[in-house]
Amino acid sequence: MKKKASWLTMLLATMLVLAACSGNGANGNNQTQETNTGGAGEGEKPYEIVYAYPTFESVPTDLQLVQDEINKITLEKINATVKLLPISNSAFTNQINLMLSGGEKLDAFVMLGDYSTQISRGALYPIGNIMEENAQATIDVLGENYYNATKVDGVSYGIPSIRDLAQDYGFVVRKDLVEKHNIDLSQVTTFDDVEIIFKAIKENEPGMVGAANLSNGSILSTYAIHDPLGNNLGVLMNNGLDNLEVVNLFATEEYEHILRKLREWYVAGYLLQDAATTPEFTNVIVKSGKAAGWFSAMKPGFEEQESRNVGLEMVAARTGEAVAKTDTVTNVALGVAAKSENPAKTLQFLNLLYTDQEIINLIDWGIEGKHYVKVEGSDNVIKYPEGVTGDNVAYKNYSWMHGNQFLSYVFEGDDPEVYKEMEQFNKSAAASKALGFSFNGDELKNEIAACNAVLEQYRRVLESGVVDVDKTLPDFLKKLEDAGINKIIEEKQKQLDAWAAANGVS
Amino acid sequence: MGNTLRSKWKTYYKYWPLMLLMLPGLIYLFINNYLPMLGMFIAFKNVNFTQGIWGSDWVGFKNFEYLFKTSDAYIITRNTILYNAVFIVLGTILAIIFAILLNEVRKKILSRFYQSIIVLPHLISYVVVGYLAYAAFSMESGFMNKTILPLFGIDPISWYTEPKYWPYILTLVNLWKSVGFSCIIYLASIISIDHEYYEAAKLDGASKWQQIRAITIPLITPVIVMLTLLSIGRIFYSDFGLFYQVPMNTGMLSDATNVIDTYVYRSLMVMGDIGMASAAGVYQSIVGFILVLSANFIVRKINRENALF
Repeated sequence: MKKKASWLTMLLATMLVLAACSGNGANGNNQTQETNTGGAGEGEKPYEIVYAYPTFESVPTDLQLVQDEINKITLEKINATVKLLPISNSAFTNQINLMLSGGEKLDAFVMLGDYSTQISRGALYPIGNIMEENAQATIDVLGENYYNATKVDGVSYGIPSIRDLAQDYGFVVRKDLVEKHNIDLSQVTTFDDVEIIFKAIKENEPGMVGAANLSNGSILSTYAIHDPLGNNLGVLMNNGLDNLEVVNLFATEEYEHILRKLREWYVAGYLLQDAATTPEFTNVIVKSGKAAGWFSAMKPGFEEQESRNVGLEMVAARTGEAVAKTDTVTNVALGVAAKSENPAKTLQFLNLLYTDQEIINLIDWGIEGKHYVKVEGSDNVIKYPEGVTGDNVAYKNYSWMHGNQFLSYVFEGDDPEVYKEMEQFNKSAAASKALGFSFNGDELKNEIAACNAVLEQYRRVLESGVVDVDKTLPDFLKKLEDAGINKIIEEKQKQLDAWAAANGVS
Repeated sequence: MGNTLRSKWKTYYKYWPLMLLMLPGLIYLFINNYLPMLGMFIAFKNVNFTQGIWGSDWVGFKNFEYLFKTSDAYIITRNTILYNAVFIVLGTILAIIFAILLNEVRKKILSRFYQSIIVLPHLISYVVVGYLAYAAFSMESGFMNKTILPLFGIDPISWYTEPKYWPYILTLVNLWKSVGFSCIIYLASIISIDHEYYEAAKLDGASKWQQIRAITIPLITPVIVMLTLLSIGRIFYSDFGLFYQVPMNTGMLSDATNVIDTYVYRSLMVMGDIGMASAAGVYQSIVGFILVLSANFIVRKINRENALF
């Protein structure tokens, strides 16, 4: 008898475990039904929009509460409900692919840097065709110029989130060190000038180097002297400001010069000795006093953002003017899934993310009074309510991801005017001549894959100064040529010329 | 012929409850191992979500081209096969040695203790192993450069930029991690050998070494052959964790560490093309399939009894 009972328990336990595995899916369905029956006030049944986005932390506990609040507004305004679907960033692209290929319901999703890949995979609905009827207001706030940058063969497939759409580049360094050693940052205006900072650090701060590499990347991971035209294989030099000649970045004198400088700095002890292998994050390296700063792409408010990340006050020296490129615009973009049952409704929801301040702040910051409170005497600066900190707040999201960041509240400690500055920055930034051009590499997938493998192999070591340039650079170039980079450049030039002719760019 | 078939059915009929027990396993195998094989067609498609996976265009062998496009194609294939060959040979020998040694440990508690210790590395994730290796070989704070080498008066070595050390390091790490597990399998089959053989041998005055050579090894040969055949089937797959995590994805070491799986990962990381990734998988399985068949064929030529099928 006893034996029988234990078998039964075991069977039950197994079933429970299995049931728990599928638990999430079942819950999701229940919710769907609830919301569907809940809001059918008008004649037409409200459409449920599934909106997926990457998250860098765990799914917030109060997600459902915030979603309900958002739905109150969307039901009234566009007769639709929204289901927020945060997915861990490391699994995001895979998950989206699975959902698309498996025919799961998905209406809108965020793209981080894979806008053109998703287009060539046919994952996106060509929203350009229905944009004017459903989201004209979005085009207006985005500006015609930036909207056009999303067009591929004349049709737009996605909308960039409104944030810093251009980038400038430079070196960010600990403020206390700059003041202590009287480093004159105004003297740092080119890449080579950063040596001034390195020298001062090396002479006065034993045990500390000048520059750290970027997390899991090289020293130059985001610092750019070129317009990458989608994939860095065939680029426009000088950030695309001069002409439309597609060249091999890695074979240019400018690139070689930078590599030689980096090598020189490495040998002089200005760079981390294990920059090519260290798994540590940049902010941790700087915070722990192993390095003074790093090279980076920048934007207005960058110093405050990084001061918060590092935990020490940072200042920046900029070495170039701000430039907008197709890649800097489409880096973060929102798109409608190709298989969405109601693309128009979905687009109307995206339109709200660009125009409706209430929805934007709900999705960015959560519910007022619960997840944030306004700072007294200000209508756009917020802070955590008493007893709540960044670690225990029950709702978190990323304002640069969801639609129009300029309508989002500013968190206490940031410059209250930061979004006005950013808007000015976007307007005044120079534009690469190829802004709006998107390369279609479908025919050359094999070459691109082979070249990417070569870049993965060589860039980090070369751009960290760890290896001898004379010995390694020729190998690198040879392998790139073998992998077919010249074919890619040729095709890119052809497409760029055709695009330029069609758009009257010269 | 008809008769044997009928008698076969008869046996099936007679033992139907036992056959029924086999059913869940068969269904599991079918769902998990046979159904997914249909997905092989993806390797010949240019996957487009608007057209759907079935509706996407056929592209023939175009998805396979990138595997042979690079000038490293030779290095990648060579590394994959040679490393695995070394792992199979050394791994088998070491595992058998350890199994025999463990079998000789008479104190039960000690034997259990050694068994647990030796399997432990098998349970550690390669990400963690990568950091353990980093703790040993890091340029600035590594155990090798700071403690071991100074003992012998050797200058610090920049491990992560010198490919020549890595074949040894990787082999060492792999053996450390995998020997324990196969050792347990061999130990199980050694334990099941009848003790009378040994007693008879002792009476005839056989030494320990002779007992091992004449009794233990021949009796566990079927297990050795089976495990080796199985690993030959995976000779064209490489352990991604070992070749990517342990060298910390360092480009400078690629001559010694680049294998098929890391190459596919590096080339498709940015593009994420489903068709091309499937192509690599199909290529590996087909080569593995052919190798298993031919290895089994050779084994059968030598000794029919030992062949798998």
